Amino acid sequence: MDADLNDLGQRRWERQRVERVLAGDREAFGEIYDAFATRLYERVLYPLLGNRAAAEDALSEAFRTAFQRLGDYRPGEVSIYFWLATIAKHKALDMHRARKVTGRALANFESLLEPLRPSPESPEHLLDSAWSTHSVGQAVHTTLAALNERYREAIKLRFLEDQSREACAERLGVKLGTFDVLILRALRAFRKRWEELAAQGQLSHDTDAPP
Amino acid sequence: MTERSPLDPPDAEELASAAALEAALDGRPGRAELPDTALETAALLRFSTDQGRLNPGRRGELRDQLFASLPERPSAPARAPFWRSLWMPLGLLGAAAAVVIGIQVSSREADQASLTSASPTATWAAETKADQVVTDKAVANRAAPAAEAPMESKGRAGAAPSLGALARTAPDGLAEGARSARARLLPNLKKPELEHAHQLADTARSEPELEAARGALTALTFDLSSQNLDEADARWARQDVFCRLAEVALRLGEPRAALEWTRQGLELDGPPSPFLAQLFALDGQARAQLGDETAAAASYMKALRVNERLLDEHLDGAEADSPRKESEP
Repeated sequence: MDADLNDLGQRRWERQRVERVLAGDREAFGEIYDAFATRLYERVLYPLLGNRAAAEDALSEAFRTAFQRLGDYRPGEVSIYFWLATIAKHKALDMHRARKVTGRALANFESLLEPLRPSPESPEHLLDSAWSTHSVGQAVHTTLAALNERYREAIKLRFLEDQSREACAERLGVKLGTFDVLILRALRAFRKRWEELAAQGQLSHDTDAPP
Repeated sequence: MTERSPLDPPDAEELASAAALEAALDGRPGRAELPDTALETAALLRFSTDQGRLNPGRRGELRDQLFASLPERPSAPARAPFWRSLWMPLGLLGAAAAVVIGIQVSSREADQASLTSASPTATWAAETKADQVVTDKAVANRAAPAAEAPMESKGRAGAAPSLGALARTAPDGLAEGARSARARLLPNLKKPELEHAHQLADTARSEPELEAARGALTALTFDLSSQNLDEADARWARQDVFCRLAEVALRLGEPRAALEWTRQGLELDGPPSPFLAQLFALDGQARAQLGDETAAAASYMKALRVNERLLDEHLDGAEADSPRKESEP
């Protein structure tokens, strides 16, 4: 949990906005949105859903519910962020439950981020994530370095450079179907290395870098 | 799964999985053959790039869309919780305790000079009358010389409940309220590990059994917050777990540990509930065991006030009560 989130001044700022919203000032809710939307998206929703469009939908739904239920919110010793994060988690879980109906390809990869998170000191920690995208990037590169060159190249092209599968197949000199199999194997190999390195404690370095 | 070389020929299952994965990566509907672990890994890789960020421009667009569809104002504060139906007996208990205390206050006013005991009772009564926690040092000082005599041997005071008696009676009633609420709450949560931990605490008699219960309950203080629970349900479940941990600590003769658990439970805040009342009651018991009778009395008073609020809510909202409809916090 970041210290500044539960800072007294921060909580006073939040309480004032909540009171203003309850008095009918919607702009104050916009300030709460601006303060926490990015954090909720990057630290809660994207890791739970693994899908940009779904994470954006869940973010909007979470704030809609928060607005509607703001009258029930009771400021406590921690930031309103944790209340918002709880709502956001419920939205993400609802999306997973509805997956059979919506057919949306969702991927909860929170467990893969666990090795990058310090040990929790309080239950509230479990609602937040102390990792930074910087530290995730470092861990990804550490793991890629441990893969064979072919898999590493396939992953870099497809996911880090975000190239189309056609472009990737062409760059690697294979047919599309072959590339599909190659990327599947590369992902499986990556995950195996990631878990091995995590077990050895070789992924959790530099978690202090700012997100 | 054995790792395969890039040169190995794929089998039919692998081809189907690869095709399903590519479809999912392109945002097309997931299929039965979709390899979830590979998709999770792909999501992690994308997360490590700019795709995992919400840039300010996009955030602004989402905000505009959201605000266009928001109502003018938030809804009024929420519905009554399902366990409100439990409050009447608890409220009556609180009222009964208040009557006992009231009698004691009257008696004390009528016969200040006959006050022979310090403290627990006198302090309790003084606090009740003043409606706040105060240290009645004057009374305590006056009564100090006779403080060694047992309560039951002190005439009028012998008829009044001691702090110890209140600690045994009112909190017991609150514990019963917490038990009833728990009996209603646990089936809704469908958390076998939670039920198991409570069962351990219920049946524990020996020290090793109490330690086992403590271990199971302690694990839940972390686990419950990360599980898929309604926010209110999660808070009550956790408050209840802290109650049980404090109970266990008291049974093990560890009032300081009990205080730490009640502190954590009370930090969860939230609206009045039987668990909140029970936390205050246990807090009082722990403080009494540590010899701080004034603080203990204050905690018992808070427990009873929570109880009174529950009664008020029950009386005010009985007609408006409706079953809970939603699973969201």
